[in-house]
Amino acid sequence: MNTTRAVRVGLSALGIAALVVTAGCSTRGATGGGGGAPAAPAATSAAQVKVALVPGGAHPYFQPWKTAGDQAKTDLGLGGVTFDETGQWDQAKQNAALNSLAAQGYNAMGIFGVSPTDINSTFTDLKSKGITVASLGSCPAGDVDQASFCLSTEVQQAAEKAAQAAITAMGGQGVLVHLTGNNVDSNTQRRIAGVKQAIDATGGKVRLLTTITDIDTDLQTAQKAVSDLLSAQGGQINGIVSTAYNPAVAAAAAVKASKLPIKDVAIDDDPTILAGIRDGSVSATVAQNPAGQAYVGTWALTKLVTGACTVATPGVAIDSGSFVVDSKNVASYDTERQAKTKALLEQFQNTVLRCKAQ
Amino acid sequence: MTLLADPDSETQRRPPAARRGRWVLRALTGQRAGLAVVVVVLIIVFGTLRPAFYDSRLVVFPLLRDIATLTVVGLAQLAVLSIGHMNLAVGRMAAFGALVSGFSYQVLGLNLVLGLVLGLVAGAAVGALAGLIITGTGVNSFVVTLGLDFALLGLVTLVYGQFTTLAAFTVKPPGMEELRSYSMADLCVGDVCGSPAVPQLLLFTVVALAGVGYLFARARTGREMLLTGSNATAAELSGIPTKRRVIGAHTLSGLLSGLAGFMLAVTAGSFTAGIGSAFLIPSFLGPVLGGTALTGGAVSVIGTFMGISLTQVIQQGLSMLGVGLESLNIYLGLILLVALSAVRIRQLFTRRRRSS
Amino acid sequence: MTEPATDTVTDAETRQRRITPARLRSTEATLLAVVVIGFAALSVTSGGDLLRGPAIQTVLTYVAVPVLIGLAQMVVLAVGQMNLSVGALGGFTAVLMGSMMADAGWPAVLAVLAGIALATAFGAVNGLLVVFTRINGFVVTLATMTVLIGLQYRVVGTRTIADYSPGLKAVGAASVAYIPVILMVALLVAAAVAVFVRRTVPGRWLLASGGNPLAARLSGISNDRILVLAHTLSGLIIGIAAAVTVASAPGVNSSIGGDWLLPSFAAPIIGGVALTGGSVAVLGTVLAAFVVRLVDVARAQFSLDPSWVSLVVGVVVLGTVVLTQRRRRRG
Repeated sequence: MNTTRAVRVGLSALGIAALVVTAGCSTRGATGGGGGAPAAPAATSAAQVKVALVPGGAHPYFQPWKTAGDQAKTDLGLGGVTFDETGQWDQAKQNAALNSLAAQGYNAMGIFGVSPTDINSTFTDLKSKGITVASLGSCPAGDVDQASFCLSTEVQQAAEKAAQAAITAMGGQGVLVHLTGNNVDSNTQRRIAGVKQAIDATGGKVRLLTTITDIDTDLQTAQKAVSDLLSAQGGQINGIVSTAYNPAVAAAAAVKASKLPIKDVAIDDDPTILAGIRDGSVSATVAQNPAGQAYVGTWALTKLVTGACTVATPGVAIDSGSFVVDSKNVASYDTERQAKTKALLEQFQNTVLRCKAQ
Repeated sequence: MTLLADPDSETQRRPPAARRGRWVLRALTGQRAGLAVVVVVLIIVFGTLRPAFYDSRLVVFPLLRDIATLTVVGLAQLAVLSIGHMNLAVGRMAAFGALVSGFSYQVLGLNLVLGLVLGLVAGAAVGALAGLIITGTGVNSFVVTLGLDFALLGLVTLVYGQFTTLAAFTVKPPGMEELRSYSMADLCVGDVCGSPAVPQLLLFTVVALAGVGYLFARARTGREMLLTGSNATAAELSGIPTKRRVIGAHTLSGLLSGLAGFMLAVTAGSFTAGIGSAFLIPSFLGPVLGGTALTGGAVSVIGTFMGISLTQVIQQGLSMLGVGLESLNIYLGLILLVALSAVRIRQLFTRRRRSS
Repeated sequence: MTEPATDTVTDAETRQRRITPARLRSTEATLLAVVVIGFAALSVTSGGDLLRGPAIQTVLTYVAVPVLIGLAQMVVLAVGQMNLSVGALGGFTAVLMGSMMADAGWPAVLAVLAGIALATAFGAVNGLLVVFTRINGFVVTLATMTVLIGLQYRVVGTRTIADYSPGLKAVGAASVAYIPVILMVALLVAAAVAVFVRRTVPGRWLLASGGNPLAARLSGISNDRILVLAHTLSGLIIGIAAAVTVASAPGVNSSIGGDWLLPSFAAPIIGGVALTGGSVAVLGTVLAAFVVRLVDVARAQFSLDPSWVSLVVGVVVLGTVVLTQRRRRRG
């Protein structure tokens, strides 16, 4: 019996060794330390460019990326554009998805990193494999951005704008509540800082009653938190600012049902939120420019991959624009946004990128 | 390695546990062979459909790196499954270990090795705490580790909030970047180097596999743990210090969780509070697919590695095939169900063959 | 060699018969005391605001779903199993009902009934898979949970379905003397489960099979059938929870059900249900759901940091069970 077990152990060890060996040996100098030669030869024409747009996870914010990417593909004659949302808000899963895309031949990627503190490592990895990367929708944490550029609404700035819109709707004074998502996420911390900034700017006229975090996981959790808040302290609240999706939806419904005179401000322009603006339950929302990010980002990536242009300052951050939408401009804000996208294209062409004369 | 209480010495008396043990022994062997076949077949299928699947730098290296971390997670759960317990706080223990490591790098300025050691000690300490509560109060491990999970979540969040503005420790000690991206190709003997597809992080996993494997195969402590898992009353009556073994199992679980947290932080690039949030499911799937019993008494260390490999190969393969999110989880779940059913079908065949 | 089996059977039975009623009564008494004292304390600190009608209605509204999902988990715990797909099944059923009404134009009654039927069927599938694969329900329901999460996303994508049956929404918001209709539905289900388990034959078989599978098998009960029954019943209750969700939530999207798993375990465990099977505690589960709800109310009232709330919940879970354990040891 013991010999049989020894044989089994030996076979298992042999199996593992075989696995390691078949994975391939190499000789010194074949690959440089920790990296290596780019995976594919540089593309020279737009038809050889394949762009991947990779959000952090499934979220209504990224839906416009799909249509904008397809539009860019048609306009520029790209080899391919894909949209991959399998990251599911986990950096490890997003890294695996990005590596898959690289292996499938995608040579340019516009990425919304799941974790702002980890994404620079991912960018470095991808760059060493010869892929051109841009950060879309969210910039990495810290001072350095390893991507070619970052095209986004600064997360802190968007939250600050939303809080300002709420304060304006409240008449410049009163009590404000901030509803947001995962507390241990860097982007949430930035949003909290942005709201605080807006409140500090009022010089004490507006008071932050509380910041309720971790209510974006689930719509019912958000609904419960908002109902409890209104039930306990609804009388003294003048404004609510929601910087995450589920709290925004829940706040709109709860404020409407409670009939309290609370000004409710959200972010992003999901149909549910816009419907709220139209029927008055939401005072305003701060719409960002995801379509612009995707279109201009794809355009710029194409130029970089084909070698037609280079980035003047690698790692530069460009604001893609944010727009306060209320009942007055809910029908027309999109036009304003498209104008901004056009302006962004020009900005890239003139300042951000240095292009060779055609 | 099939690792059980040795059935040979009990051949004379043949108590029910050993009889069951022999059958389980055979089933486990068959199961792991079947698992290896499935993994190889899947690799061939995916590779045929997408030859890029074999790309050593772009696909195999990151895949092995992920397998390395998740195998350690699976071993962390295996440590408590051996005594028939569960550790629901595997993810948060990993987060806690990573927190301590990150803290030692950013605030204390220690080097890579020292921070790792501190992280391991922290994980082991939390595991020991769980073990102490379980043996002291007699409460089910499910409940204790569930409560501990909540408590650690709160604690980790509070500490990150206290010491950082970004909810993460971002200081990288010298050596962390290298550990992340170096493969065996960077280890050379003369002019022959290792494979560029095998990450150096896998060495941690190999050490963990060897250590845990030795524990349950050869060490007396490990065999006593398995006996405790098989039949706690009998073990107690046989003179095994079951309480100490329980605490030991949970301490080992915490230690391995801490290691996994460190490995994930190295792979990702920073020490965040979200580390370990995706560990719970793989921690069970790996061992169970590999043949470890949820009720205790039988573990398979290599099986855990293969179970994790299976789940990761499936995910990577589906990703390479371009399966979008609308179908990814559906296929993943269905394939897992088929894999679980296949284990059962195999057992049915084994039983029928023996009885006929 | 003496067979130890029979001794174990007699011991277990006697142990259960002797302990169960007393143990449950004391757990329930403790929980009732916690609920009453907690509510009284919170009323005082709110300056009486909590005693107003609408405030009570808000408190009670969000007990309905935790009670239902706690019961769904409880019936599976009773046979010594675990159902990890509670949230995913509920979420999938909820978005399916929403989609049937909003996208396909089905009337509310039809959509709700179809959804509940489908959830029951999925529960049965869970049970059948557990029986067939002979692997602990923990792992099997983990796999089905993955499939259901995928299906939920397939049905609804990233949108929130909010545009359906005003009639159903009115029912979801309705209340009688500040007691929400959905809570009454939840309590009715709880009563039905209690009657099923204590008074009907299949219900008693459920307890017997969970408490001592060997003895049950020797008595002629098919443990496999009971397992399937337990999972099917769990699916049915989840279907009802999904219907309640569709009626009372602002809308349904792919996040629904994401937060159901832990509360579904917390309620039965705090309520005194043994994880090894063989016991149910309907009143305990309901009261435990109320206790957890009070933690939410406290959090809202004092604007507590969620990290501290996590810590407190962990301590409450541990503390309650340790106390129960101590009492069990004393006799």
